Amino acid sequence: MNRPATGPDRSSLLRAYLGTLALLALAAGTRVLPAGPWSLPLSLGLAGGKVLVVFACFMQLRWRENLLRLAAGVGFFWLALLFLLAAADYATRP
Amino acid sequence: MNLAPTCPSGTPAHGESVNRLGLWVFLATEVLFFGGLFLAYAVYRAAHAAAFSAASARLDFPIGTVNTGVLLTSSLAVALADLAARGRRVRSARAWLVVAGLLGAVFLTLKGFEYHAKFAEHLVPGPGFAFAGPPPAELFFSLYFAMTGLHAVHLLAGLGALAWLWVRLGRHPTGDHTGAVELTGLYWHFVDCVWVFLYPLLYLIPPAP
Amino acid sequence: MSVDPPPASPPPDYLAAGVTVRSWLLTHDHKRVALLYLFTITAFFAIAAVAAALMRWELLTPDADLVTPDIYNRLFTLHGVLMVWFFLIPSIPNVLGNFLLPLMLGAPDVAFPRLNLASWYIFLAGGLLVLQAILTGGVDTGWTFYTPYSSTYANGQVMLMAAGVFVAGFSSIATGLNFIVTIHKFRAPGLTWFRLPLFVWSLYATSLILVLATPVLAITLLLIVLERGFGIGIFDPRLGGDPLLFQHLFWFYSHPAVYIMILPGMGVVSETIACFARKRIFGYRVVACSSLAIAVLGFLVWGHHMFVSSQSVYAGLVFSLLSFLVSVPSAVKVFNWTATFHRASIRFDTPLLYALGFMALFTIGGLTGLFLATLAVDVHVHDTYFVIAHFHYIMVGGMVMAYLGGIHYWWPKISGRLYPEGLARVSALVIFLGFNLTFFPQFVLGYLGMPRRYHIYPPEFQVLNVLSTAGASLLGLGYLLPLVYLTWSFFRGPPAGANPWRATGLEWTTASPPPERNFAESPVVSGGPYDYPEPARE
Repeated sequence: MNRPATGPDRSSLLRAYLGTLALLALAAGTRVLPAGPWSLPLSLGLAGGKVLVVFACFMQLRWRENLLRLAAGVGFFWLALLFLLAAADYATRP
Repeated sequence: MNLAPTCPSGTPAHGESVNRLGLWVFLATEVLFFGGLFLAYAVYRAAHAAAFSAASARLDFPIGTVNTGVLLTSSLAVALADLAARGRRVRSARAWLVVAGLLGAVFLTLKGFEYHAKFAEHLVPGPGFAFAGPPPAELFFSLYFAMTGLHAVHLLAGLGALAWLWVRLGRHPTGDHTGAVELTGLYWHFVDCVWVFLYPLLYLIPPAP
Repeated sequence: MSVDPPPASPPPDYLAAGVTVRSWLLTHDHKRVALLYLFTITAFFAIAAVAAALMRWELLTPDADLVTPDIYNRLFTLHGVLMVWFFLIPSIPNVLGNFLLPLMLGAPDVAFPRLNLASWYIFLAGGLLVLQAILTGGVDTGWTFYTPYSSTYANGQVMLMAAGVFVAGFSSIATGLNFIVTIHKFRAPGLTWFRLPLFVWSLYATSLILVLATPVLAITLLLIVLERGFGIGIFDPRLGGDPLLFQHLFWFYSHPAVYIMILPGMGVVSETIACFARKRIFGYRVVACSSLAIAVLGFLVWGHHMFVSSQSVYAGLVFSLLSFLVSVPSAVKVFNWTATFHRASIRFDTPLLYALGFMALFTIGGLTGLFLATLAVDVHVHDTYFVIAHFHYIMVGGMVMAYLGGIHYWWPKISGRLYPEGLARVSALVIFLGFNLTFFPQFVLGYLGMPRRYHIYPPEFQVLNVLSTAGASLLGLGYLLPLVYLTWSFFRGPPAGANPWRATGLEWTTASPPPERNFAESPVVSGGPYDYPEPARE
């Protein structure tokens, strides 16, 4: 069966893979980098980058309907609500 | 799943989109399942930064880093299996599934070494816990074992799914396995993503100033 | 699409399609799964109701004369756990929702029929774990499992009970997932989102909560088990852990769970009112969207359970404000239902009596919720019978009334038979009176300062407690009546016909009881959900 453009081809998979490895190398580098307070947001940002590549390419969200992107995002959105309102407590404790 | 013949749009494409949506909704529940643990981590790291830093230094950074690479590579293998299944190259798909499964096993083996070292060093929470440092360090190790343990259970389930897929493809070498491979792959990639977040949170805490 | 020629004889209905035990236990038919749930949750309801009866009996006198304090603690825990997770949460979604959703969508079944059956087995496994926990010693933490008591100090089967709830949670998730996918992907041709019955909208909102909140409960209970059983301390204050973190996680699920329990009830009320007022629901789109608004806002208010817990006072302010906000979409629904009655030709049949009961009791429960959302008032009435009365007005006055109303409304569809209308009206009235007699005195008791969860109380509270116990007896009688006459009707009731209420909705276009695959031909929809004729033309 011929299904054009319903998913990534081999070269885009390989590029995505190399991209995640590069991000991993950068993240490992933050351990020796004197980034101080920026170290956590930096390494989390790099992890987020990896996950975005995996979601878009390996998990094929680039080629899918918006409903699926919504389903993928909604869990993270609700998690943000949990973090946000819990922070309302923890950040303002005396 | 079985689509009824009287279904309003009972075409294979419809069935595919139904299953895909079901799996993505399931993954959203997984985000919140792990999310509770991540909240606990955030609260305690904010409260006990120094203890977390000291405790994290006792983790095996090389193993953590290599394991991240191993999982990313296994994801590539699963994606290539998906590509092969899409092109009806079932033999090649099976081979990539084996590669992915072996990499998953490598991950668990390395994890096992690390767990064993923690047991030997009395870093497992409980009565035998011994760590020269602030007591919240035990919280860090509680979270470490809870988060990586839960992840490992998910990975084991993923390995089971890969094995099932491998058998299924072997039994029906001429069938269309696109949907099954894709859905299993989605789950596998997601478990990979969980680890991608665990890695910086557990292994990349800089020493306290 | 090719249409098969009509069969010579109509296909057998879903009840007649197989009569063996095997045909029930291995069924993929959403209607049969719904009945499996109906029997199971009725049994759990009965057990939990007996626990409530024992507690009310104990509270007849100020002294401890029926049970020991320890047994009393175990009774209210078992009452709470069974009623919340094994009756209220699955009640309307898993019984009426399972039965009706595919019918209302014009679909032959839910999206994943095998998962649907599996969810019942998972539910049953969770229920059996909880029953085992009860039989082997019970749990005295209350249904909220607060740490560090539950994780460190409590005697009894906390781990087994938590495991039971954990397992049952996956049946909730499976059901929510199934409904979401079914509503997105299995609507009949022409059935656009704003042509969906309001019951479907409410099920969609409920499923969102089921899917997004339940996992957080699961991980929270898992952490308690890890802490209690394996020494993996997460909430342990001796290690620097925070017991309030448990409460945050627990209420992130358990407050939205209140909306899991009330939203489907609101859907049932919308359907009933439209049918018995013979009108389109006033402001249909607003009512539909208010279900989604409740689902989202319901996630933002959990901290109002923690006003006196040493949570930051600023967080308390935020949660208080947000709690007031969530009352807006709820009030929108009540006002729009009321407006629907304007110039309507109303028939006061049993389902409508329950719907009216819901409106009255839900309004009282909701308004007293605003008292509790007010920080200063909550400090006064926190942990008193005022809170008990408030949430029973929502849960029992709201959800159980709606559940019974829905069971009566769709009974002809489910069983194919009519129930005795006069007797049903009388029992609806008995339930309404019994409920108010049970719980209204508790508002007063709480306001006067009687704390919850004690088996003894000062003698000056006795009169109100006697009234409450008397009401509970009446309420128990009220619940027995439908059990008896519906059972009778199932076997002996007169045949109902496809549409005894002359209602709109796809579920009424097929036979009663429906055939196995619901519709002989996939229906095509060309209009809105409540196209009742104008009263003048009728």
